[in-house]
Amino acid sequence: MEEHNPFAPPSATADRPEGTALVFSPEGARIVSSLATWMRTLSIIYYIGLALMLVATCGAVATASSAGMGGAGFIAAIAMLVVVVLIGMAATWLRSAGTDFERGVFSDDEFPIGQGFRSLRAYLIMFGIIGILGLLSNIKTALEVM
Amino acid sequence: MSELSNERRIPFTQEDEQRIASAATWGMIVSITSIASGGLSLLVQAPIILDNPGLRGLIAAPVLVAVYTLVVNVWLLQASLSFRKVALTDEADQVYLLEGFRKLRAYFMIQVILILAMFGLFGIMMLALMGGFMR
Repeated sequence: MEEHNPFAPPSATADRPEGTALVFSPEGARIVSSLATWMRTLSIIYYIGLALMLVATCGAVATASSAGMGGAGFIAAIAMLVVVVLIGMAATWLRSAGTDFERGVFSDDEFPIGQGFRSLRAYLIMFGIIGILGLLSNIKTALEVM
Repeated sequence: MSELSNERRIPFTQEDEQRIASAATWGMIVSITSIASGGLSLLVQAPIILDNPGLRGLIAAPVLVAVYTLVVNVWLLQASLSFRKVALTDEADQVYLLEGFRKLRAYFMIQVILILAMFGLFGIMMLALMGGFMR
């Protein structure tokens, strides 16, 4: 029989209050696993888009330079690089959120789920700001047309 | 609180609950602004298309885009409302969390499927154009 050691460090599970253990049903685990897969797939699509935009930026800069429009080409390249950085950040946050949600559910630990929400919040803040700017632009267009 | 709901409570820290509530708020902002933008776009494009007899056949395109925007963002809104309940209530956290994850999965899944379908359509069109040039 195992002896009780009063000097042993507390285990990680001993701190969890009784009745609040994070155990998801098999269906819940399946939903989160599927969610993580779709989030990672979308992040891969963002990375592919990012790579294509980088190639397009290089092409635009080369074309503008050869046509003697160095200044305009430089400004366009900076604008495209900003978009590339934003897409890269969105893809990273999305991938990180999906992975953390999955890790949290499969390890029955709420900490990675909290981390996942931090990444998801960053992703949504970025798209929220883009959404607000897009709405303002659409309102302006609608007012001009009507 | 019932025994069942107590069993399903998730012991998130105060900081995590704030993050979840903030993510839910931004999710609601994204969905509401997107729905409003989709509606405005339809209002602007529809009269232009309907006034031009040559373009009337294209009226389905902005309507489909508006319907897609509405459906997808309603899912995001529902997910955000579920996540908000996780952060602001101490009842049935797991149920609300899974409900939110289910809606969020639908939101991301439809985006991936649509992007892949558009890539596929673009590829087919390019092949058809190349085939036309080869003849």
